[in-house]
Amino acid sequence: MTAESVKTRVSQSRFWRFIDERLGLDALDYDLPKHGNTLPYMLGGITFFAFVILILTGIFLTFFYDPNPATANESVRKIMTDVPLGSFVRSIHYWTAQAVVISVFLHLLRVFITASYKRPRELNWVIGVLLFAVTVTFFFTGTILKWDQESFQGAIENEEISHFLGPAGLPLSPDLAPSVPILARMYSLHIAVLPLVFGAIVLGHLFYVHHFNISPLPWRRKAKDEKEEPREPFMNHLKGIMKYGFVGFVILAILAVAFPAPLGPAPMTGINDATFPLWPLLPLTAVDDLIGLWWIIPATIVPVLFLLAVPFIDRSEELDPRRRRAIVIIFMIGVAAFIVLTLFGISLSPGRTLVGG
Amino acid sequence: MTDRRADPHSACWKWLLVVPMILMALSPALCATVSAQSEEDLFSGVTTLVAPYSKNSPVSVDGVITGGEFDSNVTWTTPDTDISISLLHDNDSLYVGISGASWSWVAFGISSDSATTMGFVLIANIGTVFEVEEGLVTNVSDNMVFQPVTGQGAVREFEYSSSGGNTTAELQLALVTSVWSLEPGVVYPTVVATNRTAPTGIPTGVSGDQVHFMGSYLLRQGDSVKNVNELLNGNINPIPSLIAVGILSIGIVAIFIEFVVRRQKQ
Repeated sequence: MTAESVKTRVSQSRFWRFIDERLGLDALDYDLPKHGNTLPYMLGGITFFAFVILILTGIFLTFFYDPNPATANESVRKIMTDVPLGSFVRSIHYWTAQAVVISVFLHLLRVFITASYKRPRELNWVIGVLLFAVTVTFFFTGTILKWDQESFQGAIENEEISHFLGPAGLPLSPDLAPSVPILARMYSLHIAVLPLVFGAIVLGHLFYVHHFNISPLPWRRKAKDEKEEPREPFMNHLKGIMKYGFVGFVILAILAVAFPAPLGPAPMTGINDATFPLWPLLPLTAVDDLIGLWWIIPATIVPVLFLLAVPFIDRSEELDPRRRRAIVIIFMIGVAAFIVLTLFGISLSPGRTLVGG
Repeated sequence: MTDRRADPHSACWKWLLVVPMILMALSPALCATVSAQSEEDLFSGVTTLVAPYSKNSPVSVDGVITGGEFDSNVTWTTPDTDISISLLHDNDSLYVGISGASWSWVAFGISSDSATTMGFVLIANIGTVFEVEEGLVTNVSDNMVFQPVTGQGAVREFEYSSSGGNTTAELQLALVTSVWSLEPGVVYPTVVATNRTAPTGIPTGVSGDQVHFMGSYLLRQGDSVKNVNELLNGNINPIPSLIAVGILSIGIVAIFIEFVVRRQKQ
């Protein structure tokens, strides 16, 4: 079914003409190559849809959350037990955050495999890599806020790493403002600084997606091939994103009911390695376990630098992944390392025992 | 001049990025042996003794452990000498119950500063009676030498009783002394050392299998043994992680098939 274009709707209805005149909706009335409406090319839009869910559920949670270390854990517990729909909303937030990491990772993988970072889209790839880094930072700061033992350990390791970084680590270090708990800083980052950064970057990302249109399929190497591909209205793309987004939301809602977001007791000091973070951060835990905490710095920075450098390393006009073997193999080794380290992290056991436990 | 865009793989500098990436990917295997050789933290991953909180302590320091004084669910028994240790605390004291057959001495050490300096309480059979002495270890290891300390103020009360070859001792220790300051909500490095075969007398040091490195945790009022147990054993349910990693892996494989394998067949 072909979607009705905005322009058609505008011409049909005085109401839509009124709206369009003021909002400029006809800017959305442009065509995409047909492959733009397949799932792999909608992952970016689906990620954006999931971010909207995170924003809405996150705003709800801020009404009831208290970022004071003495009461933060208890306030999350009250959200789960006393606030109407609190447990469901927090669990949706928890599962959607993980879904965002998955979709943004797969989006990045698809863009890489199809060489969509090549001329003239280099800048948009760089913006996308920065969005990926912001997403992971969002995830990390979010896991600190519930302030249980897992969060506490994350905060301690964050502090140690910030000391390794010297002056560069000051924004993440308690030394920046010793009288203010690090939990308050993480809260500020999570609900104010990162949303602003994310909003600014994502606007640029969307602008350039619109400006350059969807990248060609990797095997349509000639301009002639591109022109032969049927085109569809952008509204079809939006509808597809909404369709997948709502199906995804239903799946997340089921997961939220089946596996509510966990919350441990308030943290106790004096123990290390009693808990592990959620899976997106487990590769870093594995690196810490295998070679030491300091190595988390290169393990984080080197892949990001590599991703930022990709368009400037692979500058040929070749799009087909089978003809870009060297860089694809390097990338897939990195992906494999991520999966292996994650599974290794899952397999780690805290190994502590309690008397009589 | 060479057209770099026409021959993108010719520049050697790319390997400056390639090599670190390969090393990163191989790092688990390369570094496993390094990790195995690194020095183990004495108190990493150890058993933790839990001291339940009681506003009005049920412990009567008379040398006899009766039912209801200590919680049997948090009693720990030394694997080598079969001596049981129980803890309990109120607002200003830590109570220690010790029970076992034919033991010659027990050393209980705890540190609130760092794990390298530790205050000890030594209970030993000195012939016909048991006595208690306070000591200090400044270099905690698996071969420690006690320095006798007077005026440490750790022991408030001590009593013991012997019956049928079984000796029971009860100690009331101050939460705040010159060498430690204990408060609920913190796990403190702890050492329990015991001996059943040594000649009678206060030991001058402990070493080897006699030493058990542990933690001690004084429960907060809101804590339960159950939730502390969850904390210490890790509260992470692996199922959500496995679901998420499974979905991610399927996605990676699907994209690879869609853009690499399937295209190859076309």
